[in-house]
Amino acid sequence: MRILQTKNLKKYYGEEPNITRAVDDVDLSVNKGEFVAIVGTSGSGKSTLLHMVGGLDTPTSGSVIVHEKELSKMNDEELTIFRRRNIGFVFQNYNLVPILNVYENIVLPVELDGGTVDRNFADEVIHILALEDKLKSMPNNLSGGQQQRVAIARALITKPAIVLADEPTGNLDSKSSADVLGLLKLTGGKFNQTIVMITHNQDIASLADRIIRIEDGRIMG
Amino acid sequence: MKNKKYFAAVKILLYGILIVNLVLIFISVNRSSMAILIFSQLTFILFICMAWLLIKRTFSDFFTNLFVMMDKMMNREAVPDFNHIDDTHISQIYHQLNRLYDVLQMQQSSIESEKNKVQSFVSDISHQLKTPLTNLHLLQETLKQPGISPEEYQDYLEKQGKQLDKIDFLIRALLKTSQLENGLIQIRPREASISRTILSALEGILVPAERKEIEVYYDNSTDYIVMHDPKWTSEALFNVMENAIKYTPGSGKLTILLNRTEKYVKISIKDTGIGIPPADLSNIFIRFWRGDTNVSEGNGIGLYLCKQIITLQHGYILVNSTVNSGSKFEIFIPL
Repeated sequence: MRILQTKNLKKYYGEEPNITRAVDDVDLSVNKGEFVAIVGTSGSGKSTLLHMVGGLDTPTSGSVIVHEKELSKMNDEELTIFRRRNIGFVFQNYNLVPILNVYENIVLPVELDGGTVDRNFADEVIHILALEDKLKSMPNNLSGGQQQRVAIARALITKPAIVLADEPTGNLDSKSSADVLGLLKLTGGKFNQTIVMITHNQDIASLADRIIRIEDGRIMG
Repeated sequence: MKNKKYFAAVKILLYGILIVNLVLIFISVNRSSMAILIFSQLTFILFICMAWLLIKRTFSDFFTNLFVMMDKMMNREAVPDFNHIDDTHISQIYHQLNRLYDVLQMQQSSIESEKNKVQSFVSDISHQLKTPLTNLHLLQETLKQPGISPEEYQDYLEKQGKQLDKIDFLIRALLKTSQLENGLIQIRPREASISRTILSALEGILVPAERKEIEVYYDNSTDYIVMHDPKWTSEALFNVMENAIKYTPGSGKLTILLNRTEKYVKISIKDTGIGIPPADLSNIFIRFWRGDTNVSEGNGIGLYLCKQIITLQHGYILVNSTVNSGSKFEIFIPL
């Protein structure tokens, strides 16, 4: 069962002859529940690809289809709401809100959507990510690994069908990376989520069910 | 989308009522005219009626839609449709319902894939057993023929023995996987020394390592008490080590290191073997998958079994490998 698809996806910057093909004709298909790693060196276009898949960036041409729905056919407001409900993001630099404490950061997406926090579910996520003792802390007082765990909790709290992770361990030492990766994999499996993770690190990619290599904006198979 | 338009219309109507009434009341107070007052009341009632009709229409549309959707879901022919995207509660309900259906469908399909697994398992077994059995038949036929010298006789018997060993090994490995997969074997984690588990796995590979003159290094001075199933974890570690020995040329080195992170203990098993090409990295844990190598031993079960055991204990495995220089398996088990 397919959940995510791109068709002839292209993102070009600049004009001929100085054109940069960040993403060049990418056809990608991800099934429900899959854990996919996209591997490439820096500048290979993998982040641009992920941003377009998540509706954070608009393609030059081609389409992104999530849940059989084409992202380019939505207006800005629809896209924002669609993203909030269906996609959880985990970024390299955590992107936590510094003036909110850990708990407030975690439940932020639910409150933005005007929903009620599912307390049982929140407790479960917090427990798995071992954040019980940190709920009242401010993000700045946490280590990188802890901040990233908060970001994962925030990405999971809306029970999104898809989690997009952009170099989730890019800023972490190898020990914290191990914790974050293990938990990402564990929660993905536990909550029936599809995970697309970007990394430049081969070892980390070996965690995924499927590895997609990207070079100069093209998929290498 | 329609709903949104209705709501906008109702909003405009309500503002309309308010403004018109305010204006009319203002005029009527000034002129104290009865007719204007009555007219104001009439417009008020009219607007209320129109608003009521619109709201009723919205909800009846919503309920009909919901009803049709649920009907389709009961017949399992619904296509989750994420078309109602706006900030209203109605849109939220559509979304939740779609998500619910999606999750139920996924659970259903995972049950079906379990069934398929068992089926493919049966066909895998028969396939794997076929080659040694065919060989045995051929050897048997040859042995039956008259005029075989005693040396040849001995040779064929030895060959038969090898095939029997192969079958024996296969059956044992298959039994383990099938028991694990069908939940016949319960992983029973308990608090135990991880170093002891590593040592018990090491015991199994010392002889083959010595035979190939591979140096094995493990420093057992650090130890952690970890919730794990010692017997099965040892089996998992043994499979990785055995593989490492298998794919490492003579006089190589096998290094085993133990350390911890905040949430996991990490056991890294590093060899100086032939390595794994990057394209194969995500395949090595697939059952019966075998790399394109000259090493004839192996059956594509060991690593698969290892991953199953580690995953069942909520751990995970990372692989780092360079062709012709060696592989490193890092096994993480939660503390």
